[in-house]
Amino acid sequence: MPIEINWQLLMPELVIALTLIIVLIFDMFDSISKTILGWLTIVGAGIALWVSIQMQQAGTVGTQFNDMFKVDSFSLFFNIIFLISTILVALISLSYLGKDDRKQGPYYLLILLATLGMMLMAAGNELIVVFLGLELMSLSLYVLAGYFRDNPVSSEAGMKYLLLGAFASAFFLYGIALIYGGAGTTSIPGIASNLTAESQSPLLLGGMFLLIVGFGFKVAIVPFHQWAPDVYEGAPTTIAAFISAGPKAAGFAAFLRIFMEALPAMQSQWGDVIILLAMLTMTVGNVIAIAQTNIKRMLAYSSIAHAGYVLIGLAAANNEGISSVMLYLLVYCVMNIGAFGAVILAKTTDGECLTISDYAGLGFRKPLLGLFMTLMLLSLAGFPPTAGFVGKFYIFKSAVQAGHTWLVIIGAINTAISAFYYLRVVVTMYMREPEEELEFSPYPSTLVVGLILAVIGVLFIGILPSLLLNSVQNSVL
Amino acid sequence: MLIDYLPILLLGLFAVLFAGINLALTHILGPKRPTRAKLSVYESGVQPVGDARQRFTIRFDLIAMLFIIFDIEVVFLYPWAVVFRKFSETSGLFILVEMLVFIGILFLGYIYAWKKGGLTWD
Repeated sequence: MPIEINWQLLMPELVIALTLIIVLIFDMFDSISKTILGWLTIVGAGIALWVSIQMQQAGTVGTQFNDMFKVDSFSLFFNIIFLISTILVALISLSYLGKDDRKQGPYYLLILLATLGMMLMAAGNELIVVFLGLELMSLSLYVLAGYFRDNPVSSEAGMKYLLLGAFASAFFLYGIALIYGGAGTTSIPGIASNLTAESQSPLLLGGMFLLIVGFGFKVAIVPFHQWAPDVYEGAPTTIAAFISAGPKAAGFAAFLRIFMEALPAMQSQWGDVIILLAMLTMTVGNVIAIAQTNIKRMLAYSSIAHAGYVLIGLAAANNEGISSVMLYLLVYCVMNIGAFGAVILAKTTDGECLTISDYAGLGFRKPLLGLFMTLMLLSLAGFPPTAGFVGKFYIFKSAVQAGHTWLVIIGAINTAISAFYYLRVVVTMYMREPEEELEFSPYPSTLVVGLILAVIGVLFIGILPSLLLNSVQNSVL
Repeated sequence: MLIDYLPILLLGLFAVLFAGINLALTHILGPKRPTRAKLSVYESGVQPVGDARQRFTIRFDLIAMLFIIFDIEVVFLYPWAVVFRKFSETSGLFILVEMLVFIGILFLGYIYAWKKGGLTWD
């Protein structure tokens, strides 16, 4: 029995794995400056990104390892999202971690491991592979959330994330087991072919809902969102940016692949649930965000609300829906990392500005910071000509086409609510006088480069969406 | 559909009843002559020296985790060795290299743990 492996299909994953090993080796030697690890991560992720884009343009399709691993335009597009997030997060982390060498080594290793896990999730053609990817990603994130061991808030975030995340993983695994019981296989195409409208058993139904619970936790959908604000607040700000971007996209990638490819026959059952969850998630996320005074918590609730918008596209369950979800996730990752990056940029000599009132008067005293923050928040709120507007527009359009007009109306009301708390920060920055003079640290150049890249991304997609849209529409499942 | 699972339910009921009845019977019928040695936590074991609820060093966990990782590595080698003959005609070298890569990565992890002081006790 000869074994054939098409190495070309595995290129992006192999590049990341190789980078991981190189970073691991470099981290062993104390004589090497650890800042180089961050740059290695950026270079490795950059090469993987370039390879993914090339493969995506060429329309590479294929399966590997007995159909367990599927490379198609869909998985490659998600690879692009993950790798862009990784590069941006590594860029904003370079200055954030400071000069302490002990802090830097495992950090980039864990980020790369999490990225590899996300790529596995997007390419998994088998529920077990998706689970393995999910665990690889989650375990790395638990450690990263509690990365500042001497800081009790960070430790608490890590512990909370670990306990609740392990619980959610158990739900997910139980769902896989029940689906295996109902469909007789864990292969995604296999489930789809074994599943006909009349062969639906209560086992499958139970398994499906448990999967929704597991995914709901990982992407922070109401009512499984409780961990998000505490973890985002306690985790290092760069990691909060990372958790809110890549893993959320990875969760939705696997969500899309499982529900659109394996369980389309049961759409009558999960469609309504998704609609309900979308409404709940948007409304709860946006309304609670209004009451927040800590900017990291506010961004946490805003990221919950954004998961709700993504669910609208999922509820549409047509090709436009899938492509709009993919576009939205890309846009969301760039602008959310940008927003967290602006929070890191607002660094005083005492620490970060975390309460919103700290931002009073910053717009004029720190024009660059004010500009970055304003742009990212406007994009999150969905104002033209930013990318956030384009993303929301296509999500709402797909839902209207699928006949969910009232869902779009609720989404639009929520967008209006969200404008209040996003603009409140902008108003505070430009129209309030500061209560006390804060001493600000100088801008770190790598952080500014990362933010400029995010701004370019947000404006580029916002002004010329058609360039990206063609590529997205060719990548639907 | 659900009736297919009836045997499992019956088996479960039988297991619970069997265990329960036996435990109850020994409890009722068995003679009880307790001595100090019989009532100790580990009969014919080491004498307990104190309360188990105390803090102990995190290094135990570290060593335990490292042990599990390399234990599982060896467990992986068994199924690999069993199927190796089946594939050895056509792609034996490839499979051998695959396993060497796997062991190599774990070995790298071992050196990493060593270099970072994961194996030193103090």
